[in-house]
Amino acid sequence: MDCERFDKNSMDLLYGELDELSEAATLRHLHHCTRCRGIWGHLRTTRELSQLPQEEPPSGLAARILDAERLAHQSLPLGERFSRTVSVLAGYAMRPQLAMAVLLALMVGSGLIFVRGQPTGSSADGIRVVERGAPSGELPGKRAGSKTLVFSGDTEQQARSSLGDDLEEPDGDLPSRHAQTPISDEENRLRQRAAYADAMTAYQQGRYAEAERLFSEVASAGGEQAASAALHEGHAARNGSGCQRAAAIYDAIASKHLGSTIAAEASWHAASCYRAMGQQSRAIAHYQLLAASGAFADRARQALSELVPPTATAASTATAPSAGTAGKPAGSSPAVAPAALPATATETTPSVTQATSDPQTAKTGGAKPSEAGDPAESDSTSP
Amino acid sequence: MVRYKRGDRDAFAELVRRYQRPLFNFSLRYVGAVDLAADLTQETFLRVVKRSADFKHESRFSTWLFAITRNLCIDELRRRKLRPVQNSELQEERIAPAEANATRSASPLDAERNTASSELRTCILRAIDCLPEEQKEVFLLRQLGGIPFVEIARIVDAPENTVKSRMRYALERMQQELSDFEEYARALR
Repeated sequence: MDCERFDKNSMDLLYGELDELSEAATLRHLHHCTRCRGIWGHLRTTRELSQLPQEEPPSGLAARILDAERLAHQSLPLGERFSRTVSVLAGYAMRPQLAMAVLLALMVGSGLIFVRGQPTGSSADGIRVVERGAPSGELPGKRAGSKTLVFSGDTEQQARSSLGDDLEEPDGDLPSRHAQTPISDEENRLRQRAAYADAMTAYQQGRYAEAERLFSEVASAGGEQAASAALHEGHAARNGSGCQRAAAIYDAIASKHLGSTIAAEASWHAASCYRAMGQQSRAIAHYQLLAASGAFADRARQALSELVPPTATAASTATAPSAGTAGKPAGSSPAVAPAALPATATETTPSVTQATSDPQTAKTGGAKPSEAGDPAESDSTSP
Repeated sequence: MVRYKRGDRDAFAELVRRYQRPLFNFSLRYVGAVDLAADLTQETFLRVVKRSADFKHESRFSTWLFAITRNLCIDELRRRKLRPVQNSELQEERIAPAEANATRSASPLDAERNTASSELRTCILRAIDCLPEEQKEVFLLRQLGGIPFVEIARIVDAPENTVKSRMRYALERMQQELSDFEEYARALR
């Protein structure tokens, strides 16, 4: 620190604006510099002496200023007043508490919307969707296990009674089924026949994939040719994709049309497929079922004799007629027949098994064995 | 000021209460007339109302206020082209009754001190009147307003070292005028 430096720092030192280090250095310089100490003494004395007296402002000056401010605020241009209002609102909006409150309100509000949107017990607010009948042409790829309901003609009432609560009654303000589907039963039957013919043409021409799809549609649509279509679907699958796929279809047919000729034929083909695939136990199960009665009984026994030893064949054939001597066809028993079928049938088509195990369907099959063999009647209960 | 810009009118009343006295005294010492100083103080606050959006918080609010007042004082003096009323005359007018009462009621020693104090005030005001304009404003801003040198440099639009030099010259002039009161000042310590 030298005198020149002191001259530079003297004003800051006098008014306390010097940092601590510079102040200490300046004070040390003053301690041993007579010239600067004299200057510093005069400056400090002058500052103390020149403390000006503070005059009080005229009374009422503050009130005048506030009145003038009020008038000036009112006379501000509209744009500036608007911008001030926006600024005020923005100032409030930027406060964290308000922002959190708005966020909370939004969260609660959106939550209420979602809660209100959920279905309630009252049917007045909600919209009930009921599956209705539809033309078979509008249901591509629907299999027998699907949940689409297709009714035709006089089987509708029976299907309703068998399905029970699964089929909701339409509301009174909804138009009737016939009003919604103006297509008549006769026209529907003609369409199904045409579709069956197309499928058969494709099958005969070796287009098995297309034939399988078309037969599946006919089978799903129901009607008098549904069972035959389902069997040909299996044939097309066997010729097109092989026994692995066809066996599952045959099993489904055998379970669905239990006791009918179609079921017996499907069971025979299923047994052939399982035999070809080397699954002897499943093939034997089908053969044993067929050996009990029906058109395939002789051929089934012949096949069983080829697959199992004579003692086992005798035992199995002795067991099978015992079911028939009880007064019931083996195929008409809902308890025995599904159990005798291979497990794959129930695994691959759970809906079929469910339909067969339905108490009302079982009752119908047991009470009316002849009607249970009718493909049309059976189709009416297919889910 | 932030509160006022958000629309809090009470905040403006608080600003008036806090700053009207230093602003009035600065105006009074600058222009030398009480009524004019009051008007200038009021006008300063009106400028705050009208130009509050211009305040960007880059400097202290007090700096902004004193800058407005200083500009108003300069404009007013230029507009009137009048010589400011001498502070020494004003001081005699305003404090004369009080000094007279004090002189009458005090003891001889107190009366002597009061007389010296009165003479000192007169001498201070006369010394301020004698200061050049650029030194006077720096002196008033620092001594009355308590504005730091760096802020004064912004107000008068001059380098900080220049401001300090002006203050140093102002004090040296004041020292010459008040040399007779140095003993009195030491006695008061």
